[in-house]
Amino acid sequence: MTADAPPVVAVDKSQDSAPSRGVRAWLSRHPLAAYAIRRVGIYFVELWGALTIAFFFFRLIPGDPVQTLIQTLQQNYMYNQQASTELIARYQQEFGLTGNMFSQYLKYMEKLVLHGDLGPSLINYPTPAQDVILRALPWTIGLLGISAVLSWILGVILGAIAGWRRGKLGSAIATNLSIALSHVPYFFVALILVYIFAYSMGVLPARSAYDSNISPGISLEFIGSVLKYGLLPGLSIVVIGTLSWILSTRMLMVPVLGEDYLVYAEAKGLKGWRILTRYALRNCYLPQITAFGISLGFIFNGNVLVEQLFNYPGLGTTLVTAIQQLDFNTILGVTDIAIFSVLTAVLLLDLLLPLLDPRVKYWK
Amino acid sequence: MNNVPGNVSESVLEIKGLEVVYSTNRGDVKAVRGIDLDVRRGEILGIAGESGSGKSTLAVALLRLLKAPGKVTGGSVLFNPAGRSPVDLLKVHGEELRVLRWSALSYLPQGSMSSLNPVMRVEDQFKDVILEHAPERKSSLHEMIPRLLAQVGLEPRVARMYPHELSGGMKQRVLMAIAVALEPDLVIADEPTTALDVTIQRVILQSLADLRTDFGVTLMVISHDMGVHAQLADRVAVMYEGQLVEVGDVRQVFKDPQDAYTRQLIESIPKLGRRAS
Amino acid sequence: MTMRFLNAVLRTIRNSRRLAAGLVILGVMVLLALFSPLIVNAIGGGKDPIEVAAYEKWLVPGAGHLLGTDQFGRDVFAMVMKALSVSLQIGAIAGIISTVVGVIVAFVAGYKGGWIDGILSTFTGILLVIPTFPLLIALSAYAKNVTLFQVGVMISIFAWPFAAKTIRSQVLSLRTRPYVDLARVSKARDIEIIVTELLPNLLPFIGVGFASSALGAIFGLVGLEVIGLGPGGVVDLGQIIYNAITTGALTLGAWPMFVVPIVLLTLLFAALNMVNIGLEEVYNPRLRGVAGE
Repeated sequence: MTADAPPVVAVDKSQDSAPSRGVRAWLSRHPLAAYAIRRVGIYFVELWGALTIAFFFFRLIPGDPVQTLIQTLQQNYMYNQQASTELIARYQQEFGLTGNMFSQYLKYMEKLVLHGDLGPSLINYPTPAQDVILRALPWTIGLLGISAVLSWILGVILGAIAGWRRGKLGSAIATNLSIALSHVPYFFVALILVYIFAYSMGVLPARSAYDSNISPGISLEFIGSVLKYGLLPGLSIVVIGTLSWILSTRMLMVPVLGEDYLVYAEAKGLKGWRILTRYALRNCYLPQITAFGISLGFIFNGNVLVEQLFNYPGLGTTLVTAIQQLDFNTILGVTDIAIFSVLTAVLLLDLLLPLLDPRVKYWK
Repeated sequence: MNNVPGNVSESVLEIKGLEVVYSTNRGDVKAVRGIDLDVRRGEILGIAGESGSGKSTLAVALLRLLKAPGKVTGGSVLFNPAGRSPVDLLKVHGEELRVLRWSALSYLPQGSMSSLNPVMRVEDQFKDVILEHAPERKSSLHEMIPRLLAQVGLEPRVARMYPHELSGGMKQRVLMAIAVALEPDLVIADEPTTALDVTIQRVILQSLADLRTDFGVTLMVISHDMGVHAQLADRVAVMYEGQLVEVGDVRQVFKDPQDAYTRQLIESIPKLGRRAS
Repeated sequence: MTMRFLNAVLRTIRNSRRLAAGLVILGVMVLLALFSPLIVNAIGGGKDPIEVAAYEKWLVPGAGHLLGTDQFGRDVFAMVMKALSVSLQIGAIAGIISTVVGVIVAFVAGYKGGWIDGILSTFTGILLVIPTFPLLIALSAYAKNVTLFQVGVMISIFAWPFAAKTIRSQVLSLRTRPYVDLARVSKARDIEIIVTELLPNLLPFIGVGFASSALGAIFGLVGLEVIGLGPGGVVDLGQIIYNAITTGALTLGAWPMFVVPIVLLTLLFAALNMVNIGLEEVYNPRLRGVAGE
């Protein structure tokens, strides 16, 4: 969309004196396209900025991955000899550690952008880090994605009802519970759930993502097992996630309830549920769509702990394992993937927004 | 009060001893202090008074839209919709009240307020209220909405627009069209021309008068502007500090105001050729 | 001046039961932390109750040991008291650093506007949106035997954007108020306007910024500790939870070892959040009474 827009313009307004004026005229006639182009531009700046911050952050931390690798190799293969200079040089080459920091950065970005190559991983040497990450990615997307969306839907609906019925006991309980618990780590809930359901009652598994006796594949048995094993980690995210969405939705809802169009809807004699959904909720849920995208990074942070506790084979566990073994490429790769996913999700939601919201002029 | 049920009464609304109080931390403030007033079928009744005189509170109380800390503390409001049995508006609740709304008792708010739902197309704001109270008209909606819009001088394409795409005058017209969509017995209009351009005010007033002729609705018009009443109303009731100080035929009142306050209000109308000081 | 400030504080607290409740809970916790050396001594009754093998291992909660003992025979209650004090100190250190950085960034960005605001806001925004926990873990992995203060500084690197965001939006809204314009006309220097006109009006929001940064910092450290990647040498409440998990307290039914730290931290998070929402409710007219009575 971004790429083909300007050429079309030039043809369109060929009679115009300057082509730049033509672009501007076209953009002013297509405000949504202008908004989209601008937003995509910001996305690339943010993405580049975030990946750069991450790269230099890890490079500036002391620690030598090649030394670590050689130590690991020596332990694993009983290498007795001292690492030769050539061997070190070869590994340095392979891990992209030659030259100064800036040329390392350029090389890293080139490989990442052009080839999707994150370099070899240490924990699974010589498997490339991207393969290690791609193996873990579906688990995290499944666990985190489903829990995050579910929390959002539940929280927005319950929060709207809590705002709608403000002053009632149920609303007060939900609100105060949300205030008390919305900043609690998912991990706490996970621990309590594990203690109750896995250790005390023994009804649900406390570790792993599926029953190791069942071979992975598209079978009902396997899917059932995945769901069963995913229940506790998912629930720990959903409980806290829902509470925090309840609180923020209620805060958006209450000012809307004082609006003239709600009084008008009441005067129209519409049914309560209809006023709640079509008038009140429709006018306050839009900021929550943006907020959802922004919350994903935060949810990812909390999800790392949950995965680690349940030994869930997703990105979080991969990250912790990689850090324990100082596997730079994998750590940076997981961070890059998380940054990319979150920023892309925010971008897509922002592009979706003008289609849902007729009010806002997006070309400003 | 002594209507024979089934007979169409002369009065649409009979207000008796209505009292409304706002409770504040410094005690209760009486906004409406014992009002008796009849609204006759088919008439346009103007309610005049300065801001704070209680005229808007009266409207909100009659529409049963009064919110805390406001509270009706006394009186009765007998409502006689055609084809239904008379009810005391202050005593109906829940579903009974909801069914009465719009098809019998409708509301025309000030257009400059954000009474239209900003995220719904105009046509959907017609549809929801029509389908709620008259679902049998579903099949005729496609011709009904353009006809209603035409009635207030709007083009059919307005139906597809969102409120933020409309001017203040257009919004007021849309609200008028929605108000009469179900041919209610009584429309209560709260400051229908306030905050509009003077030229547009005249047009809106003309449209309101036309609506009465075309739909035969009874209209209660609340306005601080005596000019509006002079141009539109049949009768006018003047409120001051929560009480009615004068009720009468609009010409009578203008020609020979009985109350000193009414006289002041009339004198405040800017006259042509002479600047209001 | 101080009297006026105190009066304002009192009036604010009276206006919000939620804020008052949050401050009371925080106050009680701070008192507990301040007296934690005394409490620990009292439990020990002469000896150090958190020394390895001070008592028998895995004692169940009872009169002698309110919360039992752990795998090394240490008194869990004494450990929790000491760890609470550490968690609070981390929150305070990181909260103060983050707030100072946040205030500076917010003022430079919000007050100066233009491209400086553009760059700073984008940077703050990026740090708020991207998952920063991997960065924090990596940083922590290299911090062995660090002091409490160093840990606070480390955590602040990721906690300041919370404060900066809250305060910047307030600076933006205050900047356009008439009295600031008036001050601009009558006074020449920005710093004077900031100190005399903007800062007093921003105090509540600086409070909100402090509370959210402190919350984020404690949250972050607990996160590091519970996966065993916390900086060495600091025993906070998260560390106790980590011990409980790794030593099998869950399977052994030694629930106080993880339930009590969790409850304390939950209370702490709740109190900080109550302060946050209470302050916002009192000072942000749009939200007045919004979170509900």
